[in-house]
Amino acid sequence: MAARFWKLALILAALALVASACGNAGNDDEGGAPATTAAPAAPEEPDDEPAPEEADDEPAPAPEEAGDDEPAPDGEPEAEPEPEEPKEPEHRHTFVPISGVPGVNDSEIKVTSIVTISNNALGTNIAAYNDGIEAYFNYINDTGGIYGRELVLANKRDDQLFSNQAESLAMVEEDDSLAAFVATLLFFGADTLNDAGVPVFGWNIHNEFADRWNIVGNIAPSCIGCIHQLFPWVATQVGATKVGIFGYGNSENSKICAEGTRDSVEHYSAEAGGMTVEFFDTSIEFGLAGGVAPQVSEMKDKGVDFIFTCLDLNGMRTIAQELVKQDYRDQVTMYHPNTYNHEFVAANADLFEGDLVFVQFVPFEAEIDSELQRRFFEYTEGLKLEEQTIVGWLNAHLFYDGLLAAGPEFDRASLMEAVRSFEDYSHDGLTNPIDWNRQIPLPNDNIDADYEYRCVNGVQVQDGAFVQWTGEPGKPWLCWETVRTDWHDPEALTFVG
Amino acid sequence: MTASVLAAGVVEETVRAFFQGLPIGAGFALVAMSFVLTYKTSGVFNLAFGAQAFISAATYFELHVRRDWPIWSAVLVAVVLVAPALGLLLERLVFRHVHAASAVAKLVISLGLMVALPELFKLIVDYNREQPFGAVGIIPDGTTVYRLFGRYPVTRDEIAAFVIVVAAAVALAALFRYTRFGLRIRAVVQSPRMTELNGVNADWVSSGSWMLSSFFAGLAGVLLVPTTSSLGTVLEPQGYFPIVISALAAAALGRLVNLPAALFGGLALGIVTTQMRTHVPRDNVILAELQGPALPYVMLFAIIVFWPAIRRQVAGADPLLGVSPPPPALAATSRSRGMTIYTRIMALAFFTAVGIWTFGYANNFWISRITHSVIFSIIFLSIVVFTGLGGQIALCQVTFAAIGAFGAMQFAQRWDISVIVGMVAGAAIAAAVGAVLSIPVMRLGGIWLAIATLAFALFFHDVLVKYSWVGGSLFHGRGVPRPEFFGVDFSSRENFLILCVAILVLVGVLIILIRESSTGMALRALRGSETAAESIGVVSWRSRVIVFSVSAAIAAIGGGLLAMEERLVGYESNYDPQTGLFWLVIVVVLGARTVEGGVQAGVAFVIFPELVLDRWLGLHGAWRYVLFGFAAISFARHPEGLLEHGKRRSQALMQRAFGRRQPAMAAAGAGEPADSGTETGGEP
Repeated sequence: MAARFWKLALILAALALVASACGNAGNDDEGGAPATTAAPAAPEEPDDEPAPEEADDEPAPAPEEAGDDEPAPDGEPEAEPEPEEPKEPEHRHTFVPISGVPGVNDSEIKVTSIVTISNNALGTNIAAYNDGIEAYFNYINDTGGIYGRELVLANKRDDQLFSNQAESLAMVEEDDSLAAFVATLLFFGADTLNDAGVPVFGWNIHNEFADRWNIVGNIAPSCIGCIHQLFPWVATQVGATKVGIFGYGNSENSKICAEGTRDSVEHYSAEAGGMTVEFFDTSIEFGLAGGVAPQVSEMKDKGVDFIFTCLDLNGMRTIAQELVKQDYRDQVTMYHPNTYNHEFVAANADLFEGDLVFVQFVPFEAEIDSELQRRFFEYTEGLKLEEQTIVGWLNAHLFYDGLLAAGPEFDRASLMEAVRSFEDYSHDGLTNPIDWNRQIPLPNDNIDADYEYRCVNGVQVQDGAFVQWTGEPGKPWLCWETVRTDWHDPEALTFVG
Repeated sequence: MTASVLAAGVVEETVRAFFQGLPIGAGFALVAMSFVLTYKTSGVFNLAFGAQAFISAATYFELHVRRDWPIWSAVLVAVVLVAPALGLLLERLVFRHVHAASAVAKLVISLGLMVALPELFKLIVDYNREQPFGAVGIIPDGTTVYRLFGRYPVTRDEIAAFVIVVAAAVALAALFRYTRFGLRIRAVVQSPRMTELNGVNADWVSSGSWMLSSFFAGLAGVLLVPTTSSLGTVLEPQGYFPIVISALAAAALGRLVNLPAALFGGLALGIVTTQMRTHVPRDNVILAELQGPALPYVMLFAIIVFWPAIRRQVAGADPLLGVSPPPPALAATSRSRGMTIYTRIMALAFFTAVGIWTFGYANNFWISRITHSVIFSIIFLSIVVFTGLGGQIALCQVTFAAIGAFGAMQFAQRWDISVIVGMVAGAAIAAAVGAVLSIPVMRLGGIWLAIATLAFALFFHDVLVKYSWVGGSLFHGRGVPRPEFFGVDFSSRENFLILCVAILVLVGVLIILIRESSTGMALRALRGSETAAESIGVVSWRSRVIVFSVSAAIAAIGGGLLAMEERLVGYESNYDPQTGLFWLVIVVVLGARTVEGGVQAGVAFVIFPELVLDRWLGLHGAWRYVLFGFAAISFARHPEGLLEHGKRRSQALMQRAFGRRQPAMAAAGAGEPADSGTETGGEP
C-alpha cells in the first residue's frame, strides 16, 4: 500500500513539474505571412459616456440637438434631384506596372471566393454570392476596368461547410489572388486569412468579422443582443400589445437574439402602450422534430398578437403552419429576421401573408436614387436574385472603391488601409453608413464602435411577394440615433449621395 | 379562479396536448416500424433508413414538384418502383453476401450506406442544382384542416399518416403471424442455410423482404415530408436525422422486433413530448431542456439502459455459423523474417521521404494537412482501441475528441493555464466520462451499445455544448494557442507537427502495450465469449471500463491537438455526431485492428480527398462519402480492413514470387475470412 502511495506521489510530482514547465506559445504564428498591416487598437471605451441601455437616467438629447454636429443624412424633405452620372476618378484608368502583388498582372486583378455551396441545409442559396460578385465585376469591366486591368473572380472555392479553414490556408499558400470574398455558414478560416494579410470581403453573419483589420463585411460588426427601440416599435405599428418570442436553444446566437428582443420589449413596455412579453421560448431545437403545437396553443390562450423570432426559414414555416392549423394565423403578425427569400416566400404565400421581413440593405422592392442599385438590376438581369446576390455585389463594390482609393500602385496593405479610411460608407445608399475606421470591434459594450444610426429596412409579404414597408418613397430606411435610448419614432432616411 | 375551473383548464390542455401529440407520434411510429420491419426481415439495424426514405421523397419531389408529374405517377415511380428496386439492389449487391455477418458488421455497412446513398443520388440527378424548396405530400390538399370533436385541429396529411401507420402495423403483424411468407422471412433471417435445407429459396425470400422493407421506407419518406418540419422547408437527407433518432427510442421499446410496441412507443413519444411542452414550465433550465433537444436522447438512452427486455435480448445467430473459420491472423504476425525486414526498410524509406519533403519543400497548406492527418490518426486510434481491441462499436468518439478540444480551450482561455495541461486535463475528463458512461452500458453489446453511445453523443451535441462551461462562449472567442513545452516553442507549424508525431508514436506504443498486456488478452477473451472469459477469471467490467476510458482519453488528446492546430475549437465542422459516424466507417473499412490501420485511416481521411479526389481526379468532395460509404460494404467480408486484406494478398504474392511461401502465409493469404457472427462479438 505504501509503495502504491509513493508511486502515486511521484507521478503527481512529475506531473506538477511537467505542468510548471508548460506554457502557451505566443500568437506570433508563422501560419502564413505575418500580417502586413497591424490592426489598430480598438477604440477605448469611453468612461464618461454610458452604454445605450445605461443611459436611461440621463435626459436624452432632443433630435435637433443630437443632429447639431453632424447633419442628419438627408433627413430633411427636399426636392428629388435628377439622377447624375457618377463622377469617375481621374486615375481610374491609370496603368502602372505592378509586381509582387498576389493575383495582379498587367491585364487582370484576380480574387478568390470561398462559399458554402455543398452541405448547406439552411435553404439559402449562398452560391448566389458569386453571381453578385461577377455581376459587379462585369459592370466595372464593361466600363473599362480599373487601372488598365479587368477584375476577375478567378477561383471559386466550395468550403463544403466544414473546410473553410483549409480552403483559406490553400488560398493563402497559392498566393494568386489579391483578396478573398467569403460567404460561409462557418468562418473558422478568418484568422488564417487575416493573419496572412489577405483582404477579406464577406457576408457578415459571424463574430469573426469583428476585431480583424483585414476583414470587412456587407455590414459592420453589430450587437445582436442589445436593447433596441425597433422591436417594440414595429409591434406597435400593427397595433400589437402582447408579444411572443422564439429562439433556438441549441444556438447561442439565436438565444442571445431572443433575449435581446425580450429585454427590448420589456424595457420600452410603458412607452409602447404597455406591451408585454406573454410568451418566451428558447427551448426549441433545430429541425423542430416535435413541432410547436403546444407553444402556439399557449400563445393563442394568452392572446399573443405579434411573434418575434430569431429562427431560420424552417422555423418560421413550422410556426406559420401551426398558426394556420390552429386557425390563429389571421390574428398574429410575425417578424422575420432571415426570410428575405423570394422563392421561399412565393412557395409559402398563404403562410406568411402580412408578415414583416427585415433586411440590412435596401430591398429590391425599394427603388432609390442610387446608381449602384440601377446597375445592380441591370447587371443581374436574368439571374435569380437572392439576398446573397446583393451581398456579393456590395462586397465587390467596397473592394473596387478600396482599390480606387488605394491608387494605381496598390497592394493588399494599401487596399485595406484605403477601405479602413472610409468613414461614411453606405454603398451608395444601399446600406446603413459605416465608419470602417471605427467600427472594428463588436459594439456590445462600446457605443463608439457602433453605427451612428441603428437602421432597418423592412418589407411586408403580400400575395407571396415583398412590398416595401419601412420608410417612405425614396427614403426606405427607418433609423434611430444610436446615442438616443429614449423612446421615439424613427426617421425615414436615405443615404444616397 | 376556483379550483374546479383550474382543473377544467388543465384537463382541457391535457386533452389538447394528447391530440397534438398524436400526429407527431404517428411520424415517430412510422419510422420506428420501418426499423422494426427491416430488422425483422433482414437482421439489419438499418441506420440507412433515412437515406432510403430520402431517395424516395427526393424522387417524388423531382418528378412532382420540379417536373410537374401528376401525384399518382410520381408516387408510383418514387414509392412503388424506386423504393423496392433500391431494396432489391441493396439485397443483391450488399446484404445477400453478409447474411452470416454479425449485427455489428451489418450496422457498419448500414452506416456506410447512410453516408453514401444520398450523396450518390444527389450527384446523379444534380439534385442541388437549385434549392429544394416546396416539397409537398402525396395527399391532395393535404393541408386542409379538420376539427376532431369540433375543436382539435388536424390536417388531412396527418390523418392519412396516422391511418396508414395503423393499417401498416395491422397488415405487417398479420403478415408475420399468419402467412407462410412471413414465416419464411423470419426463418431466413434466423438461418438461411437451415431454411434452404427445407426447400425454401432463401435468396428469393430475402429479396422479397428487402423490397418490402424498402417500400415501407419509401412510403415513410414521402408521408413524413408534410408532417415533419425538418423536411418540408428544404428536402435534404439531414432532415430525416432528428426524427430517426427520436424514433429509435420507440423502436427500442419493441427491441427492434415488436411492431405493435414500436407503434405504441412512437405514439407515446409524440404524446409525452407535447404533454411536457404544455405542462412543464420553461423558465427552469433543466426542465426547458427536457422539453426541447434533450428529451429524445434521454428517452433513448434510458430505454436502452433500463428496459429489461433489451438486456435480456439475445440475438438470433445462425446455428451453422460455428463451422465458419475464425478471422485470419494479421499479416504482420505471419510473414517471414525477410519480408518483415523488407517491409520495415520500405516503411522507413517512405517516412524518411515524407519527412524530407514535409520539412524541406512542403508549403504551410501541406504541412497543415499532414498535421491534420497525424492528429486524426491519433483520434482514430481511439476507435482502434474500442473497436479493434474491444470488439465493440461506439458512436461517441467524436464527443470525447470534443471534450479534449474544449478542455484545452477552457484551460488556456479561462485560467491561462498551459494548453498542454488543458489537453491532458481534457483527456482525464474524457476518461472519467467514458468510465461513467461504461457503467450503465456495461451489459450492452453490439448495436445497443452503439445506439446508447450515439444517444450520448447527440445529448452532448444538442444540450451540453451550448453551455459556456462546456463549449465556451460565442462572444469570448474560441481561440486556442499552441503550447510551449520545456522551453520549446511549438507555435510554428513544423514544430507542432513534430509534437503531434511524437504523441502519435506514444499513443501507438501504448496501444501495442495494451494489446500485448493482460488487459489485451482479457479483451480478446471477452470478445470471444464473455461467459467463458469470466469463467477463467477475467473481470469483464474492469476491462470494459479500461477500454472506455483509454479510448476516450486518446480521442480527447487528439481533439486537444486538433484545437491547437486550428487555433480554435471548430466544433461545428469537426465534432458533429454525424461526422463521427463517418469516422467509424473509414476506420473499420481501412482496418480497425491495428495501429497501422488507424494511421492509414487518418491519412486517408485528410489527404485522400484533397490529393486524389480534388487535385488528381477533379471530383467533388461528396465523392469521399460515396467511395468510403460503399467501401463499408467490404467490412463484413474483410473485417480486418481493406488495407490489411490487401497487405496480406500482396505479401502472399511476393513470398510466392520469392519462393519462400510458408504454411502460415498460405492460410493467411488465400483464406477468405468469415465473421464471428455473434451479437456482441463482431470481429472488426
